[in-house]
Amino acid sequence: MSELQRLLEELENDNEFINNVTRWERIPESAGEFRPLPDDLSAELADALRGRGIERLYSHQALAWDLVTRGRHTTIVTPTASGKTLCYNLPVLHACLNEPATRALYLFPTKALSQDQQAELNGSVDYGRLPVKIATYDGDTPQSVRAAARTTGQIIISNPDMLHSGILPNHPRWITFLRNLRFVVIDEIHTYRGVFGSHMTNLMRRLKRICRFYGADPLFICCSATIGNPNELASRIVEEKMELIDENGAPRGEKHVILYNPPLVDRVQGIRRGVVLEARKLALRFLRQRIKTIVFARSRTRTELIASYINKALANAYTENDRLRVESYRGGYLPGERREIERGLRDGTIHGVVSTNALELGIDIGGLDAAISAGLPGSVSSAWQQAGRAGRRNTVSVAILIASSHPLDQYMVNHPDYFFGRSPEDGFVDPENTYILTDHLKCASFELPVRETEPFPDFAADYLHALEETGVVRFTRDTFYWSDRSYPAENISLRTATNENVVIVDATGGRNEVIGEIDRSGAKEEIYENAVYIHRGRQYFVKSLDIENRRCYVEETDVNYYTDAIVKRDIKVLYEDERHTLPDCITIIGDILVRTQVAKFKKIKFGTHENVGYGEISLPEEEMHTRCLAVSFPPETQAGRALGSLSPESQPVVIARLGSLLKNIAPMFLLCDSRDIGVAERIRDPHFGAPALYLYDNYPGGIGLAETLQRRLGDVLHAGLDLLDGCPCAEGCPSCIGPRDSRTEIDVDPKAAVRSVLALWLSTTEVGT
Amino acid sequence: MSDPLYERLQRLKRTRQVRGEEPSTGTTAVGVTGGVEAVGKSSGDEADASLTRLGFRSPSSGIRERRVFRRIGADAQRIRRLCEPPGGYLVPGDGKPLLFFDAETTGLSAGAGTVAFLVGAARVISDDTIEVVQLLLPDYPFEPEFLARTADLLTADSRLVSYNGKSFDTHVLRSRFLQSGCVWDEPHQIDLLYSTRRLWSAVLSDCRLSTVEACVLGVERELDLPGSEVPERYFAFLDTGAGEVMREVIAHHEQDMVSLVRLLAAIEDVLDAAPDNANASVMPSDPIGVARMLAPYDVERAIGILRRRVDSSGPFGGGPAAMVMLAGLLKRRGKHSEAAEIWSVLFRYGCSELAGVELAKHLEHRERDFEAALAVCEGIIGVCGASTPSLDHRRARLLRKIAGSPSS
Repeated sequence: MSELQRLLEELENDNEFINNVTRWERIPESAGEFRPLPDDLSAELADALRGRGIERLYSHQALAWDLVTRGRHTTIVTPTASGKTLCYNLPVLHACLNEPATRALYLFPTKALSQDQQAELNGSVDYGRLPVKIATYDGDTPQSVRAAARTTGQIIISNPDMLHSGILPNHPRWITFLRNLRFVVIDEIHTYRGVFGSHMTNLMRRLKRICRFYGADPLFICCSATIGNPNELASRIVEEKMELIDENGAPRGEKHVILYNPPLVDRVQGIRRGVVLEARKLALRFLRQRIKTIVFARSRTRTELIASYINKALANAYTENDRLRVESYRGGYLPGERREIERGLRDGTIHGVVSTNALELGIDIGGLDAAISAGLPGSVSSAWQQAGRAGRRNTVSVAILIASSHPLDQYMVNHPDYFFGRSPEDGFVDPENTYILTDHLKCASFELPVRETEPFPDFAADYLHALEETGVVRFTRDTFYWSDRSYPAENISLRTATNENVVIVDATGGRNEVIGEIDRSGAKEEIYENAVYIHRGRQYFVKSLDIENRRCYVEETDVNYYTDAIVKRDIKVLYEDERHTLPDCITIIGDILVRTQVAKFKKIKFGTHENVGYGEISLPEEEMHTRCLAVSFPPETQAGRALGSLSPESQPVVIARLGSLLKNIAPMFLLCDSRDIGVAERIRDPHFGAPALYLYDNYPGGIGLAETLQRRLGDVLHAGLDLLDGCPCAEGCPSCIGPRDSRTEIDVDPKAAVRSVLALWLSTTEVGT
Repeated sequence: MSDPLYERLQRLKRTRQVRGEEPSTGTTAVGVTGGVEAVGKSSGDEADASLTRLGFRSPSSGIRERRVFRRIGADAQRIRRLCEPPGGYLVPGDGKPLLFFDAETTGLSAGAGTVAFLVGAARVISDDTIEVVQLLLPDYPFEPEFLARTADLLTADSRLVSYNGKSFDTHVLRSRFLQSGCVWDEPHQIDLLYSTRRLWSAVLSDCRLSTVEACVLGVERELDLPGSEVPERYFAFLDTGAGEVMREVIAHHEQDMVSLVRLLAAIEDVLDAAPDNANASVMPSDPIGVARMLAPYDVERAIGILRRRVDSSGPFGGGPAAMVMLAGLLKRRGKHSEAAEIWSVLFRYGCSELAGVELAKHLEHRERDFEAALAVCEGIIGVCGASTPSLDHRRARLLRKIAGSPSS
């Protein structure tokens, strides 16, 4: 019996633990399905595989080989650690060996994943001394090796942003590569949802167009984590007919998934023991038995906190024996540090890691035995990704999900069937979004003149004629030519977050050393002056934050507290473009300013987590100017009457719930992701003088979601009512109006209250037409 | 934020939806037909007439070519002689003609969408005259023809002289040739930017050609067009067909090539006349740069220049950079003890690690004074506060030698 099995038995008999478990699910082991190495596999490659101990393939790997070698575009959906990368590496390496001119492009959503893939490939390539040249080409690639990568790299590992702004606009330099491009691998394709996914579809249109120009017609291989519609999403992104492989042939050891709700410490107020301390306690139980453990925390600060608590506890117990090494891991560490930790986890010199969701994606850190989530991540699929980090081929593993007091966590932990039974979220894209399509048409015409008849998509010419009026393209002889001084890709970002990172400089005793970096908005919330910044367990005091020059100076310190900023969000209507006064409600389309202000911070004592003081933060507000649809409920409208039928106390709650409902339902109509939409509600809105609900584009400048929502509002509201009627939950759940939240709930049944308002509102006339 | 483009695109999108996703024929959309006609007009006769006034001919529909002669005086003869044996410092005297080359482009990036719309080459045709040829692209669709003519102009049996052409102009051209499937057998190129940087970057505020013209060649352009406005003029020309908007662009481009001729002559003069560079140019050049450029041809003269510089005002008169270079050249010429003297000064007063290492090498291998070499090694470690593996290695070897063990 393994240490883990013994410990699981112990936990089962430990009343203090088991009383807080709301579900203990055992997923039986599976023997796996194997196939021999394909007969037609190159002998060199087969030897290299045997050299790494791979004598046969899992059934899904063999199926991928069959489909890809028969020239089919393929989507592969299998869980973490099921040997997914071999599904594409095998046919690609084989082709590179057989026909050295072959080129392949691997796209990963993050630079960290590219690095990891390069390491993985180098592993297999070195092992058999396979003569295949692999190069990472991203923002970190030194200028000096770029030229060699372009001309001799057979497999180029990159990311969509680099393809968009570096490779495609400079395609003549990539002629050797593009002319011979036979495979395009898109890993983690589930991350390309909503607006990011819509950009991705257009980026693939551009890539295929340039490939056609050079006479290449690459095959697409996409890999996805479990989502509701992986193959549909993949085929929307690459716009090809895709074959789907979703049967996992990898063997799997028995797996325990435990939902754990920390005990109440204050029954009256419903306060539970905090996830940080619970996670520490559980992680220590595992680590002390030398069980390899990963802890997921929700924020960067919590990651550092849990790691340092664990290390402190271990130091006490093992003063003479510090062979147990536990590290923290998150975005913001320097690449070298991250690589070192990943390596340590793989080779076993690091026993435990505390991480943000940075390790959720496919970075290879080897097999772990236990995964503990300190607070559930935002979505069910994300929770399964974290749980999937623990799991080996033939031994037992465990994932423990610790609920926080957040209503979403509480719902999941109290409704285990929802968690275990729900099919994961669907991913949508809308490549025809006016803003996004226009942006990519600019890039496309820069890359190669666009013929009027060219299908990009087939109505692209309408858009290009509109662009012609603004003077950036010139239409002559049935073709659109880029006719502007700028480099369009430079001003078009595929993601919301800017790349403007703030560099953190350790200035202790005149030192001047960069220890990490953090994105701009994160900087304002975490490294303001007088904040305590924790980096790999060390505390630093922030001396100054220079947002303008993107620098933050810190000095090492040793205090007994950490800091936590209080963030306030506020909305201001700048102007209305359209106002519709309808009998049922008033809607406006217009510009708003979403302001985020961090004005204060709390000092929180380590260990006890008591609040030991406040400090002021003097930083300018973070502002986002965007487009919104505002729905107002003045008393003379049907919507206002519906809301007015409730008691004044429950009105704010119901508006907020209505907001959650629309955020859940709108992505289906807008073909976006729920993270692309912002929601805010105000019961006494100063602009309307009546209760109002704001739904806005979560992108500076807006990308047309609010406008579409305005046109489809009636449909969206009706769909919301249908969803409520069809939802099996009793009082609201994350899929409809959000879980019940005992801290704010006034109504006996919020779901019924929301339903009654919506039904009354929709009972008279059509909305939004 | 009422964005007219956005409004229009939304309207177009709605029209499309009303039409039921049918593939668009393009011409049904608002205002498109008018646009096409206007475009047609711009490359018509009217445009040609205005270009003729600027001196352009149309040898074929896709090419506008301008050919002018400029008297530039003695520089022409100077350049002519450089092409003959023994040549100059930058120009090998192999008889290949020099083409002073420049391109104007639609953008500042070298990406795929940047088009070279004006390409020119100047060559010396007599002892005081140059001929400048300028090719103008009348509109984008004519590019293949335009490039074919460009390839005829910039032939491989000549040598290009450019300013920043290596990393920009020829790069854009190469990209254009690749995209239009035309072939260009690219000639060798002498990029004057690099020499200019060596000679004058220390004294000029920047190395833009206009700055170099003003400060080195003493040329002041009247009413010159700012470089950033050049693409805008071309777009305006394409839109309206009015050749007149190109007048300043053409003049600016022509002047660039004339300046290239003068600049090459000036650089060769500076190197020829060094160390007496007083009358070679308006702007005194950096002796270190001159020495660096001369060294491959004439080490003795390079040494002379540096020595003058270093001796002129005692130790550090010429600055450590001049001393380091001088010592290096002396070593190359076998003048070891003279080099060692300089290193010793640099090490003692300047705390230069590099000089220390050279000094230690000299003491160990030439003078065979191991004690002194060891003292220098330890001095370096003391000055730098840390050792390096190679210093440790040297130190250990010296200690062994001092102890009498002959192995090294």
